[in-house]
Amino acid sequence: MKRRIIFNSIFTAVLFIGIFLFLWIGCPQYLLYHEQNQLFLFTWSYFAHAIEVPGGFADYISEFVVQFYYVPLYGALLAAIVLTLSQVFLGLACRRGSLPDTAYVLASVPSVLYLGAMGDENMLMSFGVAIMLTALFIYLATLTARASASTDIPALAVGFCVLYWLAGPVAFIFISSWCILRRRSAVMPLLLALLAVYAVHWLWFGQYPLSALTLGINYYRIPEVYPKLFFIIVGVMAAVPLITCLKTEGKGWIPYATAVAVVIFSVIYVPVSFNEDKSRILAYESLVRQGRWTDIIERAREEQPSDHFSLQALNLALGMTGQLTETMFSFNQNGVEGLVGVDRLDNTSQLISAEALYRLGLTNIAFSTTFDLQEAIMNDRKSGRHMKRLAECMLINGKYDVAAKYIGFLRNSLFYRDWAQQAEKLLDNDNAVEAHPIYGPLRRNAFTKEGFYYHSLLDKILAMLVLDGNGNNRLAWDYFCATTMLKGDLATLAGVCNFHTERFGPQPLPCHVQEALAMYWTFSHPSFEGMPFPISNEVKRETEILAKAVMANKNNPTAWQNAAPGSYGVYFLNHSNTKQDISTPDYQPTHE
Amino acid sequence: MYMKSYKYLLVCLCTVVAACSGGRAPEMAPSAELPDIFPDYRDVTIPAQIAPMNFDVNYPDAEQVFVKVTGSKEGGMETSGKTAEFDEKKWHELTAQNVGGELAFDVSVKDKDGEWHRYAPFVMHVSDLPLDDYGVVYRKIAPGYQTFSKIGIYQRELGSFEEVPVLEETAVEGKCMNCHYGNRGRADQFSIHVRGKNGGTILCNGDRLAYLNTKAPETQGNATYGYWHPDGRYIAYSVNKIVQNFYLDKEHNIEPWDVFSDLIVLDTETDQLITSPIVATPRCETTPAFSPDGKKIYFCLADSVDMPGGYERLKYSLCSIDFDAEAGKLGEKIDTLICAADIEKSVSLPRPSYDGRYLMYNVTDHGTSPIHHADADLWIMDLATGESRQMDELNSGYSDAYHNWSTGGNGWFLFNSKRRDGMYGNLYLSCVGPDGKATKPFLLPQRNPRKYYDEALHSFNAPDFIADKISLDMPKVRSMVKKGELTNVSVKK
Repeated sequence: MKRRIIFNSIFTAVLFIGIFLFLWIGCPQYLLYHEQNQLFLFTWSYFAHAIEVPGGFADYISEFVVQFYYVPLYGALLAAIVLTLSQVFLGLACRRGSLPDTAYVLASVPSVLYLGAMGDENMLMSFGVAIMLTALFIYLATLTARASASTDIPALAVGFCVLYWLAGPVAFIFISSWCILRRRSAVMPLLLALLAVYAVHWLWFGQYPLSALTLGINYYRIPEVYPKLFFIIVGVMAAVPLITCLKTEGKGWIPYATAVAVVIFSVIYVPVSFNEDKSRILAYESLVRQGRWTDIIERAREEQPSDHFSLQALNLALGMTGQLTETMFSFNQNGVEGLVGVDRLDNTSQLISAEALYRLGLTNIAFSTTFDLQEAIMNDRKSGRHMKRLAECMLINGKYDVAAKYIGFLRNSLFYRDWAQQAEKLLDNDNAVEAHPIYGPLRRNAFTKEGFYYHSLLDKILAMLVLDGNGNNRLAWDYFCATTMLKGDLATLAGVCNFHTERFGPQPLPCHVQEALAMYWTFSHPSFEGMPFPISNEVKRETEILAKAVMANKNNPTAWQNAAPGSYGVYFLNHSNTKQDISTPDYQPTHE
Repeated sequence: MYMKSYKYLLVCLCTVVAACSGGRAPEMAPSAELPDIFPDYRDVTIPAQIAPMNFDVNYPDAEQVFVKVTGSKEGGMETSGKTAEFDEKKWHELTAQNVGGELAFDVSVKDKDGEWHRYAPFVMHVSDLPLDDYGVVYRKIAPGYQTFSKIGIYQRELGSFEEVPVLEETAVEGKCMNCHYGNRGRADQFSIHVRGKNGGTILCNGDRLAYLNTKAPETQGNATYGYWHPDGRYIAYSVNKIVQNFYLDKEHNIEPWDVFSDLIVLDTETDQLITSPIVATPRCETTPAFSPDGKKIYFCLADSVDMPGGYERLKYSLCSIDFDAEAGKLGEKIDTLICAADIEKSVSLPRPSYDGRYLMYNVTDHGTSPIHHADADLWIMDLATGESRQMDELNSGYSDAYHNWSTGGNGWFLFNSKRRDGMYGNLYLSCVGPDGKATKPFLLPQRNPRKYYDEALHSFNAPDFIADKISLDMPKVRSMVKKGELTNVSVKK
């Protein structure tokens, strides 16, 4: 007996530690992603709104847990507790029959499968909590003594109704498990339960499709989408109690072998369930969110960014550390979309662009992009991260009434409360905003002229932001230079390069800008003699070497690419034949 | 020992009971200062049928508010608590007793130190003009840009706080739905556009519930802004392709404009579109509204300009065109009621009162979307004299738009205003009295107004009155939308 307790305890501990470590160290970016797609509020109305629908309580508990994902250590801990409790409750409920320890071990499979399902960033913790609540109810049912059918069936009905409201349709497993554990037929109770759900839908939930009430409203972020794994987890959970029906003679090694098999399965299955590309993108995104610029650059040095999203993160990190126009071409660049993306109407694609737009001082556009990101959360949740940014934009713009509204929400949260309390002091206080280390410069650098934003005219908008603003918006200047270089619009760059010294003092032009200007000069001049741009001798030499290499190896790009690796010239020559996809109306600012 | 515990318990219980039950303010002389309340219901005129006008006081250290209401004719009531919340039944009795009279609100506030402050009483006037509509209908939508989340059309009873959905986005998953266009508040005559995959127009006309594809091969697009003919057979629509530009400066936000817009009239009996080359031109014709006798369509018309660069020159005139309901035909000429070039402004959203006396419309500096213009003001035209005036008595420094009249023709009207914060549009009601002046508008009452409006992350989009409660056959609607069971319309030859 004691041995069994030790074995079971060790297995549960291994499960808990495994889940915890995997979530904390292996995929904190997923936790942060989940956290930024909700805003848990400590208000009665938030709770009341949550429990209006079947499964709403599980959703409420889930969102309570997910708010701790803000600090991945806490989040991983709480998520591991929820998933481990599922195993413990289900395992304890099934510790009967001839294979009690095996059943206890197999009760972990739904939790392991769910952990793998978290590789789908839209799988919500509500489903995990619903599983846990259902396992709890199954366990509680086993604690009650078996009575006659006259008391058993009403108890089952009450249990199902309560659980259905708390956890949603996963409650059907409660019925099947109850019946299996009591050796009854589950067909009639399940049919009656379905009928009851149908009645609930007809009476009160006309604004939802029936599928939402039978398959769950809040288990998955995208409504009316039910991934296969969702059914597999439900199926496995429903099947675990069947172990108790087996009449095999229990052999001592079976639980150990099962435990080893479950561990091996978990070690293989869980990591492969997390898509590598997605993990990388979310990792970049989480680093941007935390402002860990040097970590982003380090990461990019280890593995060159291969998509626009990662490039946007890298370029923003380079910009924030003053390296954009010095080192950006030592990484694989691929056009202007690597700086700021074009509008895509989902809750992820524009995350880094929104951050860049905000840092650049395009406050209105950062606001609209962030607003859209929040509205694009498919399960209609608001976002603490986005709401904070919206409030910041409104503070910068001096729209204090709207800022106060958002701050009011954040004041009722856990992890944004401190910020909200500080931000409250800025309301209706222009002097305090202007003195703020972040909001002050962004307010001073703001656009003052009326005009529209077009992504394709980003370079011109950035130029106006710098030239017409108070002139010390270095990030906007670097992004402007980067945009013109990525577009290959060297004439524009040459036309305004004097501005650099004028506004930022007597300092050399950034390295890539020098390379671009040298390249521009060599198009129409045989030598650097008479060149008006302050180009260093080193850059001149590099440009000459590159030019010679190109002439000597016209048909062998690899040869000249190696002549000046990481220079703008190589990027330019590689992309000079690439047609830029620019189709926009003319930019016509008014109120000049 | 036990006695001591009981004493503590008793004290605690008394404290809790006292805190929960509120209490009357002590008798004291009022100050000369009026109470600062939210919503500002001081000196407003209300219909007797309206829900209790609950309010909060704007004093950060207020612990409790005590309000004594006295009718100028008879009756009175009291309330006490964190919010001035009135009993619904007593409220309706009191307003009914004082039709044509006043309600005086004597407000006392207890601060954190337990000190009471009594303010000078303010009044609400109970209009003798009834507002008999069941309620209002509106779309709740975040005032966003290109994406949307929770969106739905809701109906709210005016005499209570009951709000129920007509159609929520959960029922037609992933679809954007446009505003509800009803025929003079009739619960069984309205249309709602659904956008996205399988998008179309839900048309409810009496017993008929149809899902229409309102784009015919000969027309440029789907029906957009609509208005019913009074006999319930026709709906005038504009066909708009709307795009948006986003401003860079902090004073402006969005500039929506039409790439094209024409007028059509849908015959709901034959599913045919009545068109005319006179209202399907390269110019922009939009936001039609039938006159109360159904013989005319008011609409807005602008010369096309190079957009988006020329957006400041995009100014709409108020025009009308005759309509022959028997023949199902549009007139041959366009009359200009207000010429944009003359006033150097842009007119939008004409809405005639159902008694034919007034025409209310929006005026902005330029453009066609008043809810996105802080300078959008309401104007009113006396249709008997043709004289127009800006409604200074109710306009604010923010957008005031999306107005319409109550179905009873008593001068009550509603509109959407962003006056609270400049971003979120709320619903206000007012009444044009016999003197042609509008009363001070009041915010749609809520049970707990500050909490409600502070926590609302939506605008009350395109509100309108409804005479009765709307009931939609949801399974049928869901099925039609999901399967895309669209009935095609054709152009009447």
